[in-house]
Amino acid sequence: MTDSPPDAGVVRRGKRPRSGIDQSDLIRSLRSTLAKMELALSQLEDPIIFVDTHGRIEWCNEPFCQLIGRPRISILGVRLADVFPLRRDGELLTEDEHPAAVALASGEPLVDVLEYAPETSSPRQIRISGRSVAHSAERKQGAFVLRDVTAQGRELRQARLATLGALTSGMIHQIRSPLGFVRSNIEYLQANWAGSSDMEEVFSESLFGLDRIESLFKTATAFDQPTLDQFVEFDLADAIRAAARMAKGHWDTVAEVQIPPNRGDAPVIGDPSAIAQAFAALFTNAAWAVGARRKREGSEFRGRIEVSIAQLDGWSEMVVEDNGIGIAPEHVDRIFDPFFTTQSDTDALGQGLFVAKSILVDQHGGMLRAEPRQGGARLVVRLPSYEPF
Amino acid sequence: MTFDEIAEQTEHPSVEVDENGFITGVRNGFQEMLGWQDSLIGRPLSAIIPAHMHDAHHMGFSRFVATGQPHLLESDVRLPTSKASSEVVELVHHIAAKRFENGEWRFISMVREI
Repeated sequence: MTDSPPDAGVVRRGKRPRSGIDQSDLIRSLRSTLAKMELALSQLEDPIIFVDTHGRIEWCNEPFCQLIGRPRISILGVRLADVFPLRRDGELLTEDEHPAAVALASGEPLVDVLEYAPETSSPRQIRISGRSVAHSAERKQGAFVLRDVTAQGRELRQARLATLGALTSGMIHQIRSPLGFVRSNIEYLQANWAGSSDMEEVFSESLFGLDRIESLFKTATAFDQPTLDQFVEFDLADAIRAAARMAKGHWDTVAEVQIPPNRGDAPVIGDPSAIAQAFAALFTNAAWAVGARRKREGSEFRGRIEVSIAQLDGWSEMVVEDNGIGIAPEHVDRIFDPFFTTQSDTDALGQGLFVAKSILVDQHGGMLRAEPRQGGARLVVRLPSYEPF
Repeated sequence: MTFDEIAEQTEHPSVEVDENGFITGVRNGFQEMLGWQDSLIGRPLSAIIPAHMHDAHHMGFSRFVATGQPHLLESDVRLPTSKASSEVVELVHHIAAKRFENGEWRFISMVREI
């Protein structure tokens, strides 16, 4: 072993680089600068990428590797657009629309917020800023800094929704008041009108219209976000019983309802009145499906709505099964959409399941899905279990 | 095995580089393997590295010389390598480094085809 650089058996020509030893200090200085730059850029939490004229990755720091889940060595020379596809309003950007191509083509500073949707995790909102440098007409380089702004975007949306909610709430209050005296005036005119049957029809239609407007307002007020002080611990079985009572007018004459007893083994935390309202919509929907089948098959048909409760890992699950007319496969993905209804024989506005989903999923972090089954339908609700410390 | 033993005993084509990133020696037909007629000695290592990897090479090499913290040392790594014709081939590189008493780093990369 020697501590001098090895020499024997090596094909060598000259002891010094062609560039000359007098350039060594300059090279060392540049290497020192590059080393500091590499260390500094690698310490930053924001992903950083350098690309060449064709948008191919020349260098990136570790946060970018972590963001896309690939080691650096595997992406050098690969086009940024291929390993980092971006979307705007859900639409995948083309090669020419990708920020790497835009910045390289324009030479102008670029700032944009786009969606990155990796296959293995949830979509992220990414703010990308960067610009290109043209070394010559043929040779350009681009440098980009990314920042995950998903959380800021969510906060902004929540703030906007809160503003919209307050505005809507104020409008409803302002409209309800005149609506009240318009209704009472029409009812007075209807009661005291001794005119033609045509006018009776006009009054009836006007009152029907007012009923629908009031129904829509009731729906809108269900979107008032519960505050945390309305969240209490309760058992799912109690909410189911309350919901069954609320919807009794719908199922009482068409179905037998089976509800599990409260064994105290399905504790959840939330707004019990809102959850009962959501469950009531499920009962109402099941009752309509059973009633529709009864109309089709006659009064001999025995309608049935069965509710069961189960405890899963971290979830309290409620399943509502009915033996009604079922859900057409093409409707499964739409029944939770606002204003979607197949109940052409009722005054249903298509709001019940939409509101139920809003309460259960958006307000309480739960899940709600519909499962068609042979001879009926199955609605599955999951709410996070309450686990006291 | 010491750096010297590795350099002298390897049967694989190999290339040696000083801490400024210049090629100081080639062995076992390394030059011929990549089709170079003129000597590689004295040329920057980037001569055998594809252009799209120059930035990563310069930054990683500089960081190592400054900190001694390796990313690619002492393991087999598949790396795109430029031939004299500019054709890029992927070869397995096993890179070793040693710091000598005078404080200078020396590197050797032993290569083999995949």
